[in-house]
Amino acid sequence: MNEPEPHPNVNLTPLALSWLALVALTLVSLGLGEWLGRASWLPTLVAAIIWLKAWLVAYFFLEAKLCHTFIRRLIWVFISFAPIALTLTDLYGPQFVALVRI
Amino acid sequence: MGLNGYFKDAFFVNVRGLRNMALIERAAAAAASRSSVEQAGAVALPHDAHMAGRVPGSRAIWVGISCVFVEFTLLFTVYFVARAHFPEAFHAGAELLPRLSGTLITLAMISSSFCLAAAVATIRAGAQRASLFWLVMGLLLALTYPVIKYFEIRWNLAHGIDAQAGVFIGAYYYLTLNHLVHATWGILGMFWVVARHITGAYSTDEYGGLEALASYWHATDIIWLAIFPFFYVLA
Repeated sequence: MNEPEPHPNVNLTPLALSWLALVALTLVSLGLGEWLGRASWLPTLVAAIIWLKAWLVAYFFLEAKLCHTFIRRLIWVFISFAPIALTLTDLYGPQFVALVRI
Repeated sequence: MGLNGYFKDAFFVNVRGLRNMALIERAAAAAASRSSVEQAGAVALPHDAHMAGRVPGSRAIWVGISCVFVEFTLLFTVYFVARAHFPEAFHAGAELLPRLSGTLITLAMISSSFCLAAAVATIRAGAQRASLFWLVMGLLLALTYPVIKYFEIRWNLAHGIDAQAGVFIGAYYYLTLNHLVHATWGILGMFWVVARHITGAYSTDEYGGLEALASYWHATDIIWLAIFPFFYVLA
């Protein structure tokens, strides 16, 4: 049996819930910066929060799941770039700098 | 028009008519053969089913959003290269900036983005007045961004945080001011879409302009959600 085709959203509840989640994640990331200071794993945690917040906007506000494949891929590649680059810079920053100097 | 001219016109009309008929017949035959091939499932369709999907707003706005994404990918790359080369400057940098203004801008961005998403959802449901309400709320929240930024820069300059204050602050100014420029285009677009909405340009069937603006603003929001921790959270 064919699954029903997803339709663009007309309901405000998922939008309001995702907005609440975005506000909560913003306050959590602010608290992390305040309390954890220079913890070595902070950039990885912050990267995860960046990705989660961008995913919430892309999935619920932009409705990326309904978009044309090119747009969907463009969004997922862009929202993944900063968290991945942040994690790699945190883990391999000195090696990267040494490589560039050579 | 003489008799000769009349026959000449009639001849060309008939030739054109015959040519059009031939084209129509050829198209119909092609469609029929494509249909039989599709039913047989023998050949992949030129437009695969997995490529299907919506283009929110318009194709033109997605060309613009793609360009903005490429631009900020390059700007982020510069940030990461600088961060890798000067880790101490970037660790100490977040302590210099006013976190309150960064947090308020983030809350303004996500809240105005929510309002625009609500404006699109309500126009789809046929509630034009509610849609206009959410759009105006989105505009008012978006307008707080440049106001907060103005006070933030005043605070920075009063504390000696100008573009000469090191690599971290240099990266902070070029990324955040670049984002502000892009947000300003979005705010100007909101004024235009509010004016069109008031004149009844959008309905359940036709809301492409409103959705295009909302898509651009969500993209601007996604970019800010990365910039905020880069400069105000990571220490």
